[in-house]
Amino acid sequence: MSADRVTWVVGGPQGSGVDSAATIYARALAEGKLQIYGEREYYSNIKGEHSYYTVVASEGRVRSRPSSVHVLATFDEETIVKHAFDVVKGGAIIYDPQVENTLLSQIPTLEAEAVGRVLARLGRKEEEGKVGEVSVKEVLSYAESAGSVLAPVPYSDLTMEVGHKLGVDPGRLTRSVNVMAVASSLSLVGYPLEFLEAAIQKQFSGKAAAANENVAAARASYEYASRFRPRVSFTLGNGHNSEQRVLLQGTQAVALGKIAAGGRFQSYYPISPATDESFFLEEYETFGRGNTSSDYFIVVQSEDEIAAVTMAIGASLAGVRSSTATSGPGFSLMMEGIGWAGINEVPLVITLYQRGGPSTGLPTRSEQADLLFALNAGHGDFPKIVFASGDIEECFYDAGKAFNYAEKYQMPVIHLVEKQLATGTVTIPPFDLSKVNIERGKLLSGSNGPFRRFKITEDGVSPRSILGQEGGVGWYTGDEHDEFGHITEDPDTRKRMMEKRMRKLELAAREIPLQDKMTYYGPSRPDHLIVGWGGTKGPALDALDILSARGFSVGFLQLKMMQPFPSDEVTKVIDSAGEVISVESNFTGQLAQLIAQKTGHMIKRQIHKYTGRPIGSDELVEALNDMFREPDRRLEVLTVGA
Amino acid sequence: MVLKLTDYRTEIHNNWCPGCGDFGILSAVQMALADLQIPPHQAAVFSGIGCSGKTPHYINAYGIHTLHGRGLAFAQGAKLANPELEVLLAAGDGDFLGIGGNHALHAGRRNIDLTVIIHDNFVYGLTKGQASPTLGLGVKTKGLAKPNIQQDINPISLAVVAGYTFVARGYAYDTRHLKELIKSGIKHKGSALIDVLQPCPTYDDIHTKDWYAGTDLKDPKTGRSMPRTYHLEDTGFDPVVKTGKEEEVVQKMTQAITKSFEWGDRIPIGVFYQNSFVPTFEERLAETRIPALLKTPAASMRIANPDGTPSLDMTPLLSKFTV
Ligand SMILES: Cc1ncc(C[n+]2csc(CCOP(=O)(O)OP(=O)(O)O)c2C)c(N)n1
Ligand code: SF4
Ligand SMILES: [Mg+2]
Repeated sequence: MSADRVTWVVGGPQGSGVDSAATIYARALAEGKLQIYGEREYYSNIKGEHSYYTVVASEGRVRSRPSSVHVLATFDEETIVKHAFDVVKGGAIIYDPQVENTLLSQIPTLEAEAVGRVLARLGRKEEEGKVGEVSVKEVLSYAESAGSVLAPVPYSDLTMEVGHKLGVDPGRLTRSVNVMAVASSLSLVGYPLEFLEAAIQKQFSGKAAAANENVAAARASYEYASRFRPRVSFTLGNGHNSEQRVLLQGTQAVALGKIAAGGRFQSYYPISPATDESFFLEEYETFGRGNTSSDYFIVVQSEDEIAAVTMAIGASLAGVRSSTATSGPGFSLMMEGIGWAGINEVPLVITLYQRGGPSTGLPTRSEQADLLFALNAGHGDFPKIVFASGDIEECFYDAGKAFNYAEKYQMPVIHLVEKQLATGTVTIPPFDLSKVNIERGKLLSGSNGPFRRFKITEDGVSPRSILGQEGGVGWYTGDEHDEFGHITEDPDTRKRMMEKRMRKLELAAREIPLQDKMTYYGPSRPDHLIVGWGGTKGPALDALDILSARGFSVGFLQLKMMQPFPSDEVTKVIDSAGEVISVESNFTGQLAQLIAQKTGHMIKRQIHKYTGRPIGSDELVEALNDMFREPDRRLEVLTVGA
Repeated sequence: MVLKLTDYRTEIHNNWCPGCGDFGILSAVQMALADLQIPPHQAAVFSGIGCSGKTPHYINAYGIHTLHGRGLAFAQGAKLANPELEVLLAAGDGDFLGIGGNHALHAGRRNIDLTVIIHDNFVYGLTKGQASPTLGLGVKTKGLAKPNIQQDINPISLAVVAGYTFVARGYAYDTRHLKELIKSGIKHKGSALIDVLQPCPTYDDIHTKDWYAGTDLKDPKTGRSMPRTYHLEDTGFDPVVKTGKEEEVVQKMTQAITKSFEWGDRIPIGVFYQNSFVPTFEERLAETRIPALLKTPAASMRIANPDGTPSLDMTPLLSKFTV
């Protein structure tokens, strides 16, 4: 059977080549014109803990991760015991036969709770002191009896063989184990080897020896694994749509979006999962080889996030489009700076990569629990724009729009992204630069008389000068100030300044087009309306397809703009629906709270997930299905994902 | 057109207490700007929060009164975005060495071209006289209920060790001398730090104008007061690194640190340390990574075509991701 989607999981200890295996696998599929969607899961650890990558491939666009796995490629015992039960009937498990006899008790990184779950699946009671006697082999046998194909691939024998053939030290080839795992995986589903070879050539372009070794290793393992193919029920052919695509991660999309929109300054303090973006910007600070302009991007690693946000504000005052990127703990430190930018009407972009909170929480996992925090960031009343991207493609365009919002409305803009999108990898259509429209807002030109930086205007926006500009000398202060920027505590001026600043939010609400605030997908008067935001978009749209096919009348409302909030439009959609169910990756239903606050509509049925693992399409479909059938169900909590 | 001292003044009502040392610092800064003929629009004076934080409002130049302790971070961001700006920071001693200590420390590692002036009054003026990080252990100023129970930081040695490449001490009421220090700090390429002893008559009855003037110390011969402050340069003290060799740098640093602990009846003011061999952060970036940085400030880089589309040709960069 040719599956329309093939889900592949590769796992192993952190640092063992899981990421490079996933990259080469994704590239091989992209070479064959397939589209991919990838999610990366890892511990807050550098070497040794369990990490895995899920890559879903299809001829059409893929937006989420199903919970069942077609091919599982493993680099260690832990991956087998944590993921073998997810493999579908007729799917396959690739492993090194050396690991079969390892006992669970011999896997140092395996949590006691995880052992408990394995025992439960095997139907074994946990007898005191006996836990360790269960071996990996028993897990494999169980999976086999459930219909999975066991595909032991002796990597070390194969490297000896290939080394011998090429006349190189087999030790060198141990580095090719990730390619061997990919080749074996592709062999099992009959995907043409030529695409993998092409991907290897590109990956190792300029390094002929390494390319040759990897191609040889790929061929040998592809050939070896083909013996299991007849028992695997799925095949994966190459695609036929020859449209060009880009393959990239969320942090890269944001970075590219900033560059395109003219962002030229970023200060940051390292924090997962935000760092990758700044790192990328620094690596490409002169926009890479082939750039003929002398343009550049300044990236500063600061001493902490307080400095990161305030440096960005300083740079913005000097006239550069500037930004910072961070995650919860760093964002917590930025509060005072955000308020300063608010009262001083400074354009400032903060990309907030949400991870599991509170405190250090789940540093490398995904969550959507910073929405209300972002909305309420900073003390006192001041306007700010808060909006969220729904997928990696949106991340690119939104990163650019954030600068427009910041400069047109002269206020802090918080762009919400989640870890799920940050470290996710997808194929998407190439970015359309004609859709990037740079608008810099009101700027002072010429000079006549003393400059009133905070001149009271009808729409609230005053033309701004930049530091160094002749005729534009003025003052900034975090104190309440007059039109010149000097401190005042005069009640009347205070009132007018407060109103002036807040008017800008009304302007933004009027000017920002509806499609940048929310998008509705589905029939015009759905029986069931799903409401969500951020990375929920992918699984929700996939769930929509499946549920519609099952005959349900269901629509999905994706909220993007959290402030200014499109209250009337949201109300309209909600009123048109039979019932509403919200879906969010957090404990308290933060979007539902916001909707209640802004529209008065209480969403009474909610789906939450707070394990730090992104919502998958299957689990969402099942949860919705259950809720549709049982109107009394108020809350479903999702848990899929190792 | 020649710029006059009045060109650097504003019409704002000044609400510092009568007799506050901040007045002396303010005029020294204005005089330095006038002497150097820096046009007001090319200077950006940053400050933190405190009595000292109000300084920018009294100077006719771009004035950025930021957050408590963060002035230095704002200032560095602005300077990197536009290296042509003349960047100054009016810092409080609590502001800079207390809440802003982390920025104070790390700026030394960068050596960005700017000038920090610490209004060192031993107290938190604006919050009514609590001990600042420069007040000595056991000292009880009139604003304190109990003697200070924390030890003091020595701003001069801290600056030297942190990597500031111009380190000096001035006195608020030796305005001419202070003006020259500020001018040297501005002219110095790199991070300059000038710790200015600033009497706070309202909360500090120890480090008063009279105390600095030594009215309690009489010359046994003449019977006249013996001022505590004296000019380092008059004593043959040579703070300047001449060769940039490590051995010499260490010697000059050590000498500055040792000198900075002289306190009590004799208080040296002047330049303690100057090293022009350390490249600035801007130069490091320009030399090793971004050649255009000092030619075209990021702030004046064109980013958009007239139709609003990006002016940068993104094709080479995006091609890396094409599949
Ligand atoms: C984050 C924060 N904490 C506390 C304060 C309150 N505060 C205002 S001024 C000040 C101390 C100022 O002392 P210093 O920096 O020495 O300046 P001075 O007033 O002596 O010039 C404090 C603690 C504040 N503004 N911000
Ligand atoms: S409290 Fe002290 S530092 Fe503040 S203005 Fe008054 S005298 Fe000056
Ligand atoms: Mg003070």
